[in-house]
Amino acid sequence: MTTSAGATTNEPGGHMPKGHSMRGSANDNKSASPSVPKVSQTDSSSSSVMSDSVQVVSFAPPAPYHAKWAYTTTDTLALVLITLVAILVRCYKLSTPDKVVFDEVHFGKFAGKYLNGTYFYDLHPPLAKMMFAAAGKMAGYDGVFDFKSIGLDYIAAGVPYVGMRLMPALLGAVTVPATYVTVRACGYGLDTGVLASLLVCFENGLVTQSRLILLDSPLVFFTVLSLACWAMFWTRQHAQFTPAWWFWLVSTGAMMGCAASCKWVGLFLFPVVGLSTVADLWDKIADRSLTPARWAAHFLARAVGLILVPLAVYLFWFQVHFALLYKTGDAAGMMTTEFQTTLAGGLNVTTDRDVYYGSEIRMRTTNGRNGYLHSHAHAWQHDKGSGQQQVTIYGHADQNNLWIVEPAFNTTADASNGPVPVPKDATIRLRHKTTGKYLHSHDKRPALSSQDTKFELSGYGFDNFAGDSNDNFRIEILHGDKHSEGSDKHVQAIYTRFRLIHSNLHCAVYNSRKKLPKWAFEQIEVNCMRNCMPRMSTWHVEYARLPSSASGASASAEGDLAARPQASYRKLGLWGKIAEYNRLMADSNGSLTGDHPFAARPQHWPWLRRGTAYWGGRGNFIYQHGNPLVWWGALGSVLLFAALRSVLFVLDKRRIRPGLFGQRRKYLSAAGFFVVAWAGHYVPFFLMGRELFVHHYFPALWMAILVLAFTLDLFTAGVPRFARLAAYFAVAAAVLYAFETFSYITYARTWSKDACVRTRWLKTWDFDCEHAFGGVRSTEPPPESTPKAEAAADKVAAVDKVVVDDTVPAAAAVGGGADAVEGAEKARADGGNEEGIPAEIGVPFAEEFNPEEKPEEETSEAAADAVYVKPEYDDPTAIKVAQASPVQAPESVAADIGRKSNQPATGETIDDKKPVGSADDKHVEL
Amino acid sequence: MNAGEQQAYVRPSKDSRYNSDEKIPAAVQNMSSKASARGSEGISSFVRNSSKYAFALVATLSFLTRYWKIWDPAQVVFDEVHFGKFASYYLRRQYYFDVHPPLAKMLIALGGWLVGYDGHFLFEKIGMEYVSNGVPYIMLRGWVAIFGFALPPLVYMIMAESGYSVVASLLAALLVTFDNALVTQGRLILLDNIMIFFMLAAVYAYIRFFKLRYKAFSASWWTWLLATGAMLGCVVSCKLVGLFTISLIGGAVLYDLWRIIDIRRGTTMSEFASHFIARAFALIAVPLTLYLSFFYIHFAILTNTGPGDGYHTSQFQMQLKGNHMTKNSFDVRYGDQITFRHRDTGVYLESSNERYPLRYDDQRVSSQGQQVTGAKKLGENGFWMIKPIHDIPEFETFLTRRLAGEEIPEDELNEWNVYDADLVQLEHVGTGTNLRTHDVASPMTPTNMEFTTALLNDTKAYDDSLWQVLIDGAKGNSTQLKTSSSFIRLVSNKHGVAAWTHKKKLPEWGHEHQEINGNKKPDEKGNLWTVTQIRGRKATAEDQEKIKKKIVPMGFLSKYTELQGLMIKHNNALTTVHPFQSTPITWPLMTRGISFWTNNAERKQIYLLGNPIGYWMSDLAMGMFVMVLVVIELCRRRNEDIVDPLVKRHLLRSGLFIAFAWLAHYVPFFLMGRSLFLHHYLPASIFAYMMLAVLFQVVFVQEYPRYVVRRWNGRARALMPSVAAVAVLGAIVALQFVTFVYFSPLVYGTTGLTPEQVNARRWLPTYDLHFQK
Repeated sequence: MTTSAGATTNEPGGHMPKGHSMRGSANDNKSASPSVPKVSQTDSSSSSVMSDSVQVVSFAPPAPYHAKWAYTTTDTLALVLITLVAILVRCYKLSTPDKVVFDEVHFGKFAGKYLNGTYFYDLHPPLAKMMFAAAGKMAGYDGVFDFKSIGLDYIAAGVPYVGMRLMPALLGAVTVPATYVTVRACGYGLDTGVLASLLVCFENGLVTQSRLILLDSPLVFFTVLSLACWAMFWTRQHAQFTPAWWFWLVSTGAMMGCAASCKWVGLFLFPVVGLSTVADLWDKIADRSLTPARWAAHFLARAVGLILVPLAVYLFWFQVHFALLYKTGDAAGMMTTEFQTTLAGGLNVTTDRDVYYGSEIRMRTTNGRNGYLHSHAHAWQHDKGSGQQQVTIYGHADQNNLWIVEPAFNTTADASNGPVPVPKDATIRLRHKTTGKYLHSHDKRPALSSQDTKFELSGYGFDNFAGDSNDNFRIEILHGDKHSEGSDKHVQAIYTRFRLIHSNLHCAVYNSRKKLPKWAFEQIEVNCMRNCMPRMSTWHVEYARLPSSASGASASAEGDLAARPQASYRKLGLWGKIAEYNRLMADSNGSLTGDHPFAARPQHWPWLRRGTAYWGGRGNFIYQHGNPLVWWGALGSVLLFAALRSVLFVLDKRRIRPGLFGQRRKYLSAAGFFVVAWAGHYVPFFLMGRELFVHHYFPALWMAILVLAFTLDLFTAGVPRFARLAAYFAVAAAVLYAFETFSYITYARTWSKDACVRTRWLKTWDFDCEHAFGGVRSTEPPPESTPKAEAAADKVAAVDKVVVDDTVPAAAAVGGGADAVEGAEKARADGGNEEGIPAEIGVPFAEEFNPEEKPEEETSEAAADAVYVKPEYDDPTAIKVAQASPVQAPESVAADIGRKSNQPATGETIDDKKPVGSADDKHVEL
Repeated sequence: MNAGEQQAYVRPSKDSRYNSDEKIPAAVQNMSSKASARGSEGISSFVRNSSKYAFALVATLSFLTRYWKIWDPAQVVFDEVHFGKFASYYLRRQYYFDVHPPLAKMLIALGGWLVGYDGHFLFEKIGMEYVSNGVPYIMLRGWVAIFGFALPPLVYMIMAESGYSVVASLLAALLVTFDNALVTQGRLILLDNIMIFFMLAAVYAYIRFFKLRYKAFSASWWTWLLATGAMLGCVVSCKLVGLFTISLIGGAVLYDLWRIIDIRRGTTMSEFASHFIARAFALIAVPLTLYLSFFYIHFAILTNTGPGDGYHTSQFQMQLKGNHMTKNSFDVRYGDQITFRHRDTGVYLESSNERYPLRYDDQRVSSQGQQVTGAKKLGENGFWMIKPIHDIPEFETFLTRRLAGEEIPEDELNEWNVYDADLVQLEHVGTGTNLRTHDVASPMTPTNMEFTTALLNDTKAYDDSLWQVLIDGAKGNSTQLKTSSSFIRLVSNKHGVAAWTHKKKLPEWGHEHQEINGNKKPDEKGNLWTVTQIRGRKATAEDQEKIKKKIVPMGFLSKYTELQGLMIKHNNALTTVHPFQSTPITWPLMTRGISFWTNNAERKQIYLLGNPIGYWMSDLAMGMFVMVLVVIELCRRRNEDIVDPLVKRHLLRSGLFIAFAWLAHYVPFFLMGRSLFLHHYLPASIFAYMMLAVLFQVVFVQEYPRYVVRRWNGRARALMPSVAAVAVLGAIVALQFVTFVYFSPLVYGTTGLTPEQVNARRWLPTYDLHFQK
């Protein structure tokens, strides 16, 4: 029972250092009598795997060792000095370049939208962007300039960009003294504190990132402040529940909330801080001097400070966000209709409530945000398509979104007693109002998918042809609205959520959310999918109107129509808006894939494989690149910690306890905490499939830099003071040298090609010396032909934004400079670059090959429905198409399908659960 | 603190190589042996022998469930398609490729071989008839079912060996006996039975080994240690899932070593080293050797060419008898008219009189040069003459003689061989133009260079028309270009781009051929081409003899490395969406099964579905186990022991081991990107069932030492702890049994079900059984 006895000495106000854990005291006992086997220590005899592991893994919070940081005037002096240096380093040449750089495209634009109040959507939470808006407001930005593309000129547009950049620069500067505070709070001396803050101060990557209108500077700022506050909180362990203790606890929570409100990466703080909290509380359980009530108070205090406060902060910023963005804007279309109705000038729909046979309706995807079921007089053009009329999803309300509800093929609705409402499970057809085609599906692959559970949707029909059973869809009502009676029995506009199930294929009309090619006007694909989840196949009617001519003889008066019950969207409350916005963010984060040339996977970050090209000018450029010495040192010290910790574990078992120059406990707990924090901010990225960039590493980098400082402290702990200071100076000088070396690409300083090439220490560093400092630049057009110019332009798409669309030309060329961009743009616009194409092949065949000549529009409706025979599974190209004449199409089609896929040709025609095992498939075992 | 525990810190005796302060089974061993000595008189022989009876009961029930109508259905079911086929290939000795290691499939084949099956049937489709095809499928299934049959007895043995009571062991074994998924899987020609068998055997062997820790380095200690290693080798040779078992045992061994190294045990470092080395040898070297041996046998059996050839490099393929590469590999010489086929998409490099349109749809302008495209079908347009880059008079005369059909001696021919990295020109035979690429954007891929041709006398285009022939995997430039067997890249000498094509088709003006263009990353795999034909040359018997002589033999290890790499690559590439695949999170919840087989006429079906009740009960047990642990540990933190120390230690030792076994066989699937299926959960499901028994033991067997049986045939002192225990045990087993019987039509596929019956069995709407209507 000795272990717990050791723990009991750890009571508030006791003689031992505060925060001194049970773990620590047990270790002390052991080291006191290393050679005597402890016969009486029965605690470990009942120790389990679990308790063992808790004891050995140190999630020790920072600074449990030093009870108190004795703050002195020297600290003040140091703080003031390093703050000044930091401000200088961050703000130097802040006005260069006077052009839009990298993602300023997005975040500058968003700041403008806040100032205008125009709604926008971004996949990051709002705080950092609102801060830019505030900075812009103070600097006098009016929100007119739209930051449309990289390289646009600020000066000409009169944008107070320096003021806007000043905000992140100052935040970046504050991280430097905050580093000092953290290190000091962890129990380290002034010298180590200054060294650590210099390492942070002269880190090129952090400098680059904090000089531009980018979200990372606020994010890093709040992350650093969170952990600084957390470290300060731990210096107050001797005075629990005092105002100062509460202050640091709540500040930690508030800063964490702000970090998460800048970017979701800030959420990684929660497991990190959470783990050390849990470990601490777990230790406190064993403290028998702590009454359960007192323990509960500890628990509750942390729950409030570290969960409730951040949550409140997060929600608060969203509230501000929605309060600022009160006007509708382009991005409103991404939100649900309920959301849009809350925006001024936004959608405000009132419609007839009931849907009757004969009603004109406009159908909207309920979860897709993409718009309406749409068709137009253009044919499907994909390889395995039918060539029938396209059916798509289109975001804007127009005539082509109107469909007329008709009864199933070969049936009629008895309208003698007034219009017949469409009931649950009714089989209907939808006739496209402007083209007269019926919504139709058949055994054809859709444009963007080859899975055999997906079928093409088309508009089908022509004069003197009554249609066929493949026009039939069953209305499967998912749910109604509880405020509108009968909305689960009959289809009601807005209130009824339903799916459309194809009668023969048993597939549901499905929003694939993929963008169709140009020939389908880049609208959204809609197809018919079997066994799909309801999420993307749920629809509702947004507009319904029964034309007076169709409303039947007995109820023809317009007055009747007007008297019909109306329906409109309910407005979404604040909570609903926040919830929807966050869901949307989760969705778009998950689907953020792209092939940005400077995207980088996590395994390439810590060793600085390469940076990110941000902007290219004439003779200078910005390339976000770390200070290699700092990065490598930081990574090395993290790895060293891991190795040292493992060795110490084993040595512990042999009761060998190196004292590590008397720094053992301080080093293990402080460095241990920050190594865990580093891992918590780094490892999760490996699990993310989305497109990632080096700047995602910055929070983790800061933590690793602290570990580097602690490690330097550890290894100089045993040497005389002057030697230690000399070593520190040497490190600082080396870091400063490297900083200066790379400062050219950090500050866009004018540079020479030779120096540039020399600075590529690693082969993988690809800052483009050739282009930026290449000879002929401004006067001549690029001697490139199309491919290279295109490639240069492709290199630049702005990053970190909603799916980079490779069909939209990106703005500026990195390295290639503005001219290359212009060249590329021109090349694209002209359809080739006059200079680029050798003259001798440009002309001769012009007459023979008329570029305007386009293939004839496919008009062969008569070729109509085709049935394909399913051949070998993995050779879709071998699909044979058998033509069936429209006359025989209607019923025989389904029967044919049934026969050919070895199904019983029963009345149901197709059983959508095909009894296939993996036989058809490739071998799918593990 | 009691005296017994204090003593535990004292080294017990000289002969034990390392001692323990807290070995539970040690204490148990003491107490139970004392106990049995004390009170064996008053116990009925039934109770004393109850463990044997229980074991016999389990074995009998297991046999009945697995062999019940094993001949039905007499058709190919589910993945018998694959594994039956692979067995046939072994018997035909034809090379096949599969992502799984060979042991289980060889065992299936062994069964076939023993009953004289010759492998004539290829199990092509689910539902094919066995009887009419003359396949001894009953013997095959019966043979594989032995492994399925052995699972419940093994579970019983593991539980008994781990120190559980007869009733708890029986409970675990019966749950496994009546699990529908294990029975379904256990009576068909599938790999999982065999794999799970070895997995449980490895766990069993490890437990035997662990219990001998006080007799370290004794003969039996070594035996069980080596047996563990051997069984691990076998699991991993069945399926790579075996790696999970290895990680489980490996974790346990590391934990064990962690305790041994503790100085309080008095272990010296040299003692520790011998412990370490013994384990490393038995658990790393032995499995690895076995794993490789099975591959050795695999290659030794499969000596003929077969369907798996195409996955391999040419050198590998040429080791197989009758491979087409061996038949068709000729030297390519200057002046030959050859065809190029793209490896990945199978199209031929082709040109014709057609030209690129001046302006494309996106308004870019082309060179309007002659089209170079990729055609699916080989025609006259696919032939290219390979020429040296300068006009060499000797070549001219040589070519003239060749074209005239003159017989040229071998030596002279060999002077014109094409070697790796040679610079060549390629003349299109049909139009008499040279292949060329230049700095113009390709029609559909603007970042790549356009391919076209240039007139022979076009001096400006001369540099553009020089090509470097890079042979993939060439060792030095003495590697010769050959048809069929060489993969090559055609890299432009001037621009450094390689000929590349992709599945995208050109519009109408290009006759829907594939676009061919210059890829700026010449090292990509997608740039590989083969020379498929040489005009006018056919293989003669003489040629083939020559080729055979030239084949470089391949050692076992290089063959193995190649195959292993391919297995991993293809395993990861198994991402094709299968209608019955599922995500791991749904497995313990038992939300959906897999349709194995259907018979439309009689409305019969086989549908792989775990016993829902059993699955849900064991999920509950898992949750309760975690709660019990948390409560016990919380109390310990406050220095209050609420559970008997012996019970607790057993729970933490054996219970945690089983919990980790479940985790180890389940959690890693979450990280896998490939398509996953319910049957991947089967190994974990067995441990989940064991967990239920563990919890039963914790709750109902308080007086722990009285109930312990230490062997499947060990002596028991008492059976039933309480009436409540009897009732709960009976209820659990009855529930499991009734559910099993209720769902058994889906297991055996012998009875057809009416739609009502089918729908009654759809306990969850996601059970997509057939014949619902």
